[in-house]
Amino acid sequence: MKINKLMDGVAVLCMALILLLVVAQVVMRYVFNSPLVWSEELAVYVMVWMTFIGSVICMRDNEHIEVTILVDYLPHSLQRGAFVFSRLVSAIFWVIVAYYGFELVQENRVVTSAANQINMGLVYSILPLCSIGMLFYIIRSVVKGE
Amino acid sequence: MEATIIMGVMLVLMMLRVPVAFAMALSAVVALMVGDIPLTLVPQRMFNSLDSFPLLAIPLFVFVGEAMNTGGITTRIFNFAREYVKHITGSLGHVNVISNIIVAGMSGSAVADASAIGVVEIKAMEEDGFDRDWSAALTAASSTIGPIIPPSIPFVIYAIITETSIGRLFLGGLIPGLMMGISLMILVYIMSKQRGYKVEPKATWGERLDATWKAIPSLLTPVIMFSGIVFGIVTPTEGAGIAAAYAIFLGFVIHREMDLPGLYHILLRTVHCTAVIMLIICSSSAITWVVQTSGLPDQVAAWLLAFSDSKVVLLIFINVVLLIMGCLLESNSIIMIMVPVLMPLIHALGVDPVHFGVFFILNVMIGLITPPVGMCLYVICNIADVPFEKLSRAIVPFIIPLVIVLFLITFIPDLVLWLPNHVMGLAK
Repeated sequence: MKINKLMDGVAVLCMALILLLVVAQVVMRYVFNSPLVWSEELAVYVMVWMTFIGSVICMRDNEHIEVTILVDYLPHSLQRGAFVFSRLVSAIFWVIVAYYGFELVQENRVVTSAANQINMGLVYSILPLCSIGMLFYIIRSVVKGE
Repeated sequence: MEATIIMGVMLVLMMLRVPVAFAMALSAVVALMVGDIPLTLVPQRMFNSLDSFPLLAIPLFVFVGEAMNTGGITTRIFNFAREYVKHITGSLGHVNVISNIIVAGMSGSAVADASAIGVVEIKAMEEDGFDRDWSAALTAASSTIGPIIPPSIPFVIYAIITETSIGRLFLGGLIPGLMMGISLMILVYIMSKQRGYKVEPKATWGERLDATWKAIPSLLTPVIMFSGIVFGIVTPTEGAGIAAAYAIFLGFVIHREMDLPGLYHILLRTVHCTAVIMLIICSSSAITWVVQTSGLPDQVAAWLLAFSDSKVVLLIFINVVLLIMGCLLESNSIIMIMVPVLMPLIHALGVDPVHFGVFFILNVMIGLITPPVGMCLYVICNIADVPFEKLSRAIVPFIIPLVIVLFLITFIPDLVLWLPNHVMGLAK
């Protein structure tokens, strides 16, 4: 699947970038005596993006922590019911994040960040984007039955 | 009122297997709707809680943990420990605990330690005639040392919520972490004697020196990570970054066990583990907001102080409540919810926030190995192929020494505070 590879690739790139930025920050300060002013902010925003992309990847691979111990004791038909219910409830949450996240993007479309003048609307756009990814994989898991 | 709604909704949703992160966020959504507060707060809090440079230490610590395994560090440390103690009653049981203590100095997560070094340990112990469920239980128990000996992901989270010094917490965890190790080794000795587990022949000094020589580059990782942090030269995040770079150097240049596809795999594993932890942190940030604005923490402090004004009674009470919560809830969510709730009480009792942080986290780490909800148990079940019910029974004796250490450090604050106060000076 191309989209899977792409998502993994972007997330890995984010993590590699975080590592480079943090190491570069120390090296520039102590070895070259010219501290970077922009690396912290950039590294943090990259981490935020990585977290949300990673969350979608984990949804795809069914890796988010769930408590199954109680559901495991239910009869099979009820287990299926609980699963569909849990995915439905999860979907409601991500619809909320998508809707209000989009509002946040609009409110911030002319705001720029302090250190790097990055457009904050762009930075916040990961919230609705991630929600769409989440909703896609939630629906897929219900259709495929896990 | 809000607090009751939050706890109720959260527990019901979790039990119906809604992912923990979503269940927490949804319970905050319900509380906000009841309180008629705009829901824009939810995505805003989610974003802002992640917008923090100290939090960046978490992916970097996770990376070091993952790199350790692929880069050949864990096996070298296991062999190093093995040559020194394999002839003592308890043999590989002691090796298990000691390797976990050393690995704890490089990795910040118990779950990561359990899955990283657990595979090596359980396999070696089974070959030496140890019962598999006993070996698995010991591995789960000794993995809880990971986040107490620095670096530590839970300490980072605690430090960010309470604005406590990460360096102090890290130093504060060192002695309690070693105590956990020693207490487990005493238990290993006693139980191995009862069960008649055999020992390996004593290693010669040649073998010992050889294993030590091979392990030295790996053993330097914690030194590189902490010297800068403790002496205030670099921030914890930067220290973690340097250690990550060193781990890559070890894997590529010294041990030659890492290649580019391997590095890609490590980075991807890091993304997975980080995302799971961070999503829980950011989803529970709305709860933290609701709890703090509802005035619940002050109410809790007032109730409990009315119930008893004895520090001893209240600290016992807090520990018992947290141990029960540890059986039922996931660890990061306990930290995110309970730290803000308990903080006013802790201040009122005059307990040092660093001291509280260490015994609180140790308590929550015991929750990782107490059934029915214990992340380390789940991980070990999978890698050791032991049924959950069997492991849940085998783990019981191992919980006792850890609880004893918990109560020792709760009531003897110097076990935690002596080291940070001596190295970094008294807190202002």
